[in-house]
Amino acid sequence: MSVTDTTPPVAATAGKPLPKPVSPSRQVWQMFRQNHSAMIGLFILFAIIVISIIGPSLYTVSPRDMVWMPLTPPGQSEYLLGTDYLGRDLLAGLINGGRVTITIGFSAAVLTILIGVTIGALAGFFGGRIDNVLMRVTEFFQVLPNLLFAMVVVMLFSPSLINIAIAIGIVSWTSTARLTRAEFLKIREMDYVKAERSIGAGNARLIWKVILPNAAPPLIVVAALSIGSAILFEAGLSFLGLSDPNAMSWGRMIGDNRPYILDSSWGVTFPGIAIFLTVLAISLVGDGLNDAINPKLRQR
Amino acid sequence: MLDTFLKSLPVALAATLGAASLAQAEPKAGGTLTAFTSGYRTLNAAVQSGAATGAPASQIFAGLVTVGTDYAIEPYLAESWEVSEDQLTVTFDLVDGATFHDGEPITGEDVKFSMEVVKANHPFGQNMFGHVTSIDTPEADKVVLHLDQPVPGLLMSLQPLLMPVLPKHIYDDGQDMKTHPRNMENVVGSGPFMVEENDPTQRLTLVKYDDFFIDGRPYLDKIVFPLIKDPLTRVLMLEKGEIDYAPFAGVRPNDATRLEKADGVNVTTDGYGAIGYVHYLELNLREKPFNDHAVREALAHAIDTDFLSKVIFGGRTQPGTGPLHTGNPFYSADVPMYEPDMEKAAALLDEASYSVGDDGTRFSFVLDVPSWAPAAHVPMAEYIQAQLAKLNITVELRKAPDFGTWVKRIASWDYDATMNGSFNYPDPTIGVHRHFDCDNIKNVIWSNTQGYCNEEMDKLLDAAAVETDMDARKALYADIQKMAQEDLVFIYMPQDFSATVYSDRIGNTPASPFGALAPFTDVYLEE
Repeated sequence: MSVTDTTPPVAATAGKPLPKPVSPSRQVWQMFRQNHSAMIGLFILFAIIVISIIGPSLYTVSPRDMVWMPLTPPGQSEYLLGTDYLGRDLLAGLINGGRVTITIGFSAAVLTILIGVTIGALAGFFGGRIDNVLMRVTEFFQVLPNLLFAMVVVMLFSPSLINIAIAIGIVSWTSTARLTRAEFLKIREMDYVKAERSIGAGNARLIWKVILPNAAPPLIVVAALSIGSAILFEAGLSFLGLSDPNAMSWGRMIGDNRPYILDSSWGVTFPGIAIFLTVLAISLVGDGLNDAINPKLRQR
Repeated sequence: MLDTFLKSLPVALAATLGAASLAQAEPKAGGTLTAFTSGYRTLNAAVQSGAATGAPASQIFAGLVTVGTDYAIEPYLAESWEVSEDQLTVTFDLVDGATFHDGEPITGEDVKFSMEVVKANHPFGQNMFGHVTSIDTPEADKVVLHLDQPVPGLLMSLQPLLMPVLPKHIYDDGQDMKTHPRNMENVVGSGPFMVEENDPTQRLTLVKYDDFFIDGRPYLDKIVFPLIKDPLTRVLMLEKGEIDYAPFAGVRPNDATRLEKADGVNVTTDGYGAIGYVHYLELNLREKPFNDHAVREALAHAIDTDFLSKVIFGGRTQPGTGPLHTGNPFYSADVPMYEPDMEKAAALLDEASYSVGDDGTRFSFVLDVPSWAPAAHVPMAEYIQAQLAKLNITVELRKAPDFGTWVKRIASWDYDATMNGSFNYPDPTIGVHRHFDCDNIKNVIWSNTQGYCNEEMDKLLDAAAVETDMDARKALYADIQKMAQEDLVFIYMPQDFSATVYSDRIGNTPASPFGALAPFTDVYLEE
């Protein structure tokens, strides 16, 4: 099926049945499971996602309602984590903000991968002039200061969730494109690709069905990690005041409470911890995946 | 301690403006006062309104008069003046020997020139001096203003913030006053301090003008305005005593509480009466649903400004009750009030046929949030959004990225609703009439952009503009405030939290209605 199928051919010995071949995804899972830190990451991530999905229906305080005196410290009211500068419940904000933050992270990562893989695949597969043009475009985006460029995009088209995700996507795809291109350059010269071509496979088939599945492992790792960096990026934009005023996200909570940091450290600390935990979990999972997928590392 | 200090301020100020000083300590000459600036584009207040230009410009340029406590008009560059029986001619006598910072004498010609510049270039130029038909200068130290109707607020507009006296020999060269190079370079002023160093990216340094026309003034040797843009940095510097005086400090109520606890630092909200900074929710009255009075009434019942001022702004702001600031001499509290009552609001909306639709909402609208007063407008907008959600009204907040974007939307009337705020200025004809006059429905920001027109209101405004009897005028403004609230032209929010943060070592802190925008002639440092 693919090159990751590295089970060595076992010479048939008389009387013994062939061992059942293990599927590659199962192998990856087995490797992943042995990696404790990756499993902890996966558990944290799973918990965060579950809380974000069902939390708001269990904890029904609205994150927008002013429920208590502003800037109440944690533990001094029925609102466990205290309140922000408008007297809104921070816990409700955290629970509801998770959805928005993770959605932005995922959508931006999807966009990053989509743009990056498309451009990288085309450049790597066709080479020549197309490669040249696409790589110059990539370099152009690479030399733009990321944060500034994203700020300009968000300011120009108003800070809505979609625009923020798009802005993050279009500033972070370049490294994915370079990685994809490198993989394609390497794989397109492989014998099995040549074989496919010789039996008359078209370009589209070669790109999508033959090369891409074989280039996928490192890209999966990059995709996982880019969710984390997109979440951080969103927090950065929010910190500078560029957040969707109509949606509660962790980044926005930090941005909103920043002017009050001298009097209420908790207003920025809790959403900060939430972001930290999520990004850490994603990184652990990404690293675990990297170790599990990469056949060279597996030999160690 | 703070209380007794504040109580003694008016006395101290009144005394120093007169002959003998009654203040606790004898004023001492010398010393450098550190203030701050958040950035300015010009030092010429004749072409630019606002505090950023006003704070330094009131030191650099003198006006004909100053405004003392209780809005008393005090002599400044004009040592005396005379108003004719019919109130149509005002004659000013200038002090002898007054000179500009380059040594040229200040004459009636300069005053005449300055007034013409202000009339043509200042945003309120026409409101202030539109009825001045001609200006005579029969002698070098005399200025005669001829009016086509009595202007009760005229003298109030002649203090340095609104009518700085400019050197004609510098500016009268045919160049556009708004972009004149001498507004920023080699500025030659007429006031107590002159510009020593002007680097808008770093700091502005003013030094005492030795030949100032009041003997022995100013006391200070130097005023430094370093550029500090970040509000948090400002709070920390104030706390450490690195800034002595911060008018329009841009601090939030919670920062004020923090600063009050710091040693040697005082916080006051005095000195903003004549500016009269009010905030309000502006609704576009031309279109549905806000053309319907019942909808506005429902909003007024749903939005509890008292809650906003007491809880969100920590009880440090006054709830707004109408177009006039509570510090304005014409303020009247006798206006219709809309008690917070969500049920009544819902009933009003139902009656006005804005009942909850199939999508679960009554209606939705976009609420613009300008960028120039986030400390006030963002909490207000978020409160309104949460509050109206309870009535099934969806409010989409749209934060403007910059001043220009917001101005364009509002001035072209292309908006549903916006958070807004404006200055009353000492006379309501300047800062208040502009929002209510039918003739002022213009594509200009801070005009009657919401499209309010009521003939009764126009009649009251016209009468109040020319009424010279103080009591009769007060009665007219009381009616105007009542009518503005009856018609619900705006939904008033808490007034601005304008605060001055100053160090203990400052004597004679400016406390007149113009506060920090008045000249620091009598300010001194105790060491």
